[in-house]
Amino acid sequence: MADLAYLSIAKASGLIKDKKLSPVEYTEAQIARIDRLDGDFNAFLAPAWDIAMDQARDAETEIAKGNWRGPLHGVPFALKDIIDYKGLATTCHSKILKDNIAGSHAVVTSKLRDAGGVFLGKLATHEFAIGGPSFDLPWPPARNPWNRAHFTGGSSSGSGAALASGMVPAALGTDTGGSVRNPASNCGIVGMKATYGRVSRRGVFPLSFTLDHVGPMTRTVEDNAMLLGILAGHDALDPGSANVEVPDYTAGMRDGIKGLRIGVIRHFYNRDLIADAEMGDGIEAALDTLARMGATIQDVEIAPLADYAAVNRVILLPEAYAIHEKWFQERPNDYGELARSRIMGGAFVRAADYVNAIRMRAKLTREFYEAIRDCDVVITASSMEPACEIEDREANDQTYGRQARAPFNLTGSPALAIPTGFAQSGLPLSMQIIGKPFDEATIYRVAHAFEQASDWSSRRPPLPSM
Amino acid sequence: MTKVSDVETETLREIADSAGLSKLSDANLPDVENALTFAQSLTERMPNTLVPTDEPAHIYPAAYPALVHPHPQED
Repeated sequence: MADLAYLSIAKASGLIKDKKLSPVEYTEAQIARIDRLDGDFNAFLAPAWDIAMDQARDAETEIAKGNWRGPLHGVPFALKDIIDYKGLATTCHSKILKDNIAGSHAVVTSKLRDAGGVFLGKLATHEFAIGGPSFDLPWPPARNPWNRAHFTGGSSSGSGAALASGMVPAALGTDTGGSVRNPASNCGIVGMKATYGRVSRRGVFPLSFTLDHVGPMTRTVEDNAMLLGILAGHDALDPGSANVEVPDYTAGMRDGIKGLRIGVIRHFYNRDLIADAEMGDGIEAALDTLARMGATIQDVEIAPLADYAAVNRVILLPEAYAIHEKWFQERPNDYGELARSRIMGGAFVRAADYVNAIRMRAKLTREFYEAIRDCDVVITASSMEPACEIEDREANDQTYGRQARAPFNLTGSPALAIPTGFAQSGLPLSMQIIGKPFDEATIYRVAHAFEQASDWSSRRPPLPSM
Repeated sequence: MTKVSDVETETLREIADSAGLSKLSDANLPDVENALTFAQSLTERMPNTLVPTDEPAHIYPAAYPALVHPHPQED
């Protein structure tokens, strides 16, 4: 049997279906690994071992009776702790909500459970999914499995750490300015922010209503496609949800990329911001690989990255503050310093600036889609450098905004972060692949082709095996 | 707009109070200054290429399905 810690969902699922892997033994092995390693990485904020073992036993019984539900049946997953699980606290990693017991599952939680997934527990985040790694909260921040002195990226920090360390094969994150793709980039895993409206947000604590997305995080592209297939779908009670047919994302994934037209937004990382040389070289090497596989590569020029970044934040902050205003007025010192100072910024954005930001959003979005009209996907940087040291506040402040993810929360485009290699330091490098609305399938096709042509997704951090 | 660097400490308290943040302690005033600086830097960096007819991104339809059918049938 392969090392259970790093089994892909696809591999585990096949073994479980064929009754060569017991969901109970698989879950026990993951729990043992978390117990052994998580003291170093703080990925899990609230383990749920009893629930997990009950669900694993139920899965095993069902499968033994011939009732295999699909690829997630008997496979463990975990949730960023801003996503509701009925009967458990959704703390948002904050003292403010430490006793906030969810009355029902989030829609995405129900979908994973209906698919037979085994819930392992709640994962660390930045407080209310904003700010950065904080040391003044009730729980410590997650640490990067490639080097625990470094930041995981966030805000879906526990999800990134848990996947990269082999604690869980599937996790959910959320993404308002890049919070699925940042930990995916820093931790060397695959993170997808699907099209706005593709995945229900109901039952997920909001940061910014018009920018929030829920997304699958996995170690391989195929796993990500399978997980999005489970999560995606219309939710009539989520006003942002789109009633658009969900394809089988794995169906065309192996069709190759010959003839596909790939745009590159180079100015995001070599003019608007200057990426670290290793990060830039990793993207160029990936583009060479894709060109050798038959794709055509063409430069795409859009508005400066700073325009997108400013508009994203001028929308995000007042929307966040509107949600938090009552707590800011009544118990401001129950927030950690980072979230408090970030969210409080929303109190001081003028109404006219907010309205102009949402007007600029429409304009930037139109211009973006016009610019990529002749492309099947576009590629650009995700982070501008590998993860900085987690306890270096100045480095965190300097590098947190050096990213090219926020534009695609504004445009609502699907965008996936994938590893492109490793820096000399041993920390992961990455890029983003961005698609047209509701065309996640083409992103997966390109990402899978690149993944198969490289071995980056099969590298593991220097951690003990099971 | 007044630059944050020009704002006196006692004025920060007035600004916080006017935003409804009356329970902040003196120890939180640096947070107010940081928040003001952050908000101001963002709005200053906003592109300004709008014309009067540019509409906001979220213009809503008259009704959405959840209001019309608050309890949709499961498929």
